[in-house]
Amino acid sequence: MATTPAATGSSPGLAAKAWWHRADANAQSFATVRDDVIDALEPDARAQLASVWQKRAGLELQVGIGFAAIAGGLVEEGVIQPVIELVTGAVRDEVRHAEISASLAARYRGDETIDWPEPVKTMIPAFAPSTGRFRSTLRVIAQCCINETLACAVLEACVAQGKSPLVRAGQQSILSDEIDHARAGWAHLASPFVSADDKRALGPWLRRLLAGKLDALLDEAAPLPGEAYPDHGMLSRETFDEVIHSALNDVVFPGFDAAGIDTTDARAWAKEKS
Amino acid sequence: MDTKKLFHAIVVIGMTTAAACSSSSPDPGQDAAADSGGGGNDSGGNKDVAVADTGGGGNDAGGDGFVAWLGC
Repeated sequence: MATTPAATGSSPGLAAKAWWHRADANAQSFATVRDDVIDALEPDARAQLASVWQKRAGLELQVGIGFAAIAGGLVEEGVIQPVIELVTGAVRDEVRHAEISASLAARYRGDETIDWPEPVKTMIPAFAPSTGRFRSTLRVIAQCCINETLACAVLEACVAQGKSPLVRAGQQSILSDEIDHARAGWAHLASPFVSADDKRALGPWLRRLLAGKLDALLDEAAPLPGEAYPDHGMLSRETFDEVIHSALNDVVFPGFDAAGIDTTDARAWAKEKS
Repeated sequence: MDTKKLFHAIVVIGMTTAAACSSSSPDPGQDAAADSGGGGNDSGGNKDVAVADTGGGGNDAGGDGFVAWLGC
């Protein structure tokens, strides 16, 4: 389904200002935001980067479904108010991220309308044989403490090297939400709904949670899609690996340490992957 | 990338959020009392609250990862 970026990017009540105002505070619509970096690209490159952003739009919707599943589990098993507020807010945030991504894809294509992602089956990890509150906590750790925390580091690196005003605006807007999504995980770990016994049991799970998301990414050596275009916020494989390891060692593992979760095996896994 | 700043912005503030919540939580008894005259929440009605069985077994067919965008 096609719709206009302006229609979904500035809906009253969803945000005080549309994300693309970060690129041009005086712009009247998405279409009028000037971006010489995108406009200077050759058609083949624009098509390639449009494809990257279109794919990402679909992924963002699936991330939102992941948060919806997590929210349901937390409501059933127990959660403090700030965490459920952040997690349920994340569902809507991810829909907004899909709109940002689809809008950037449209801009690269040179289209005035966006292509909304096609329907897709979304997998929710079961983490067998865990059950109940412990499984709910595993899901929060996987999605918030690992995925979203690492995504913050990746996005920060993308913004730092990008020169396209619109891409930077989109990535900065997404990053501001991802910080909240990551915080939800660390807040949950510090809440009364994760017991000392839970924390003792979580240490041995970390390798599985990390491997479930990162093995395929860190074992791959092929260039990342779009990495030939650093000005467009696309990381190289080498930079990506550096960012992930740095964030694991300086943010994620110290976070688990602070929460009282043993990271010995998780750190060993990371060393094997470096 | 300044990982010290990132650690503070995400982990420290996240954990502080939980601590602040725990120390300022209202007395559950007061909440219950305040709500005692309410009209219920349709628990006996026909609303299907078990939306998508979110607390259940998942549907990952053996996978251990949520869908996530990590720059790829």
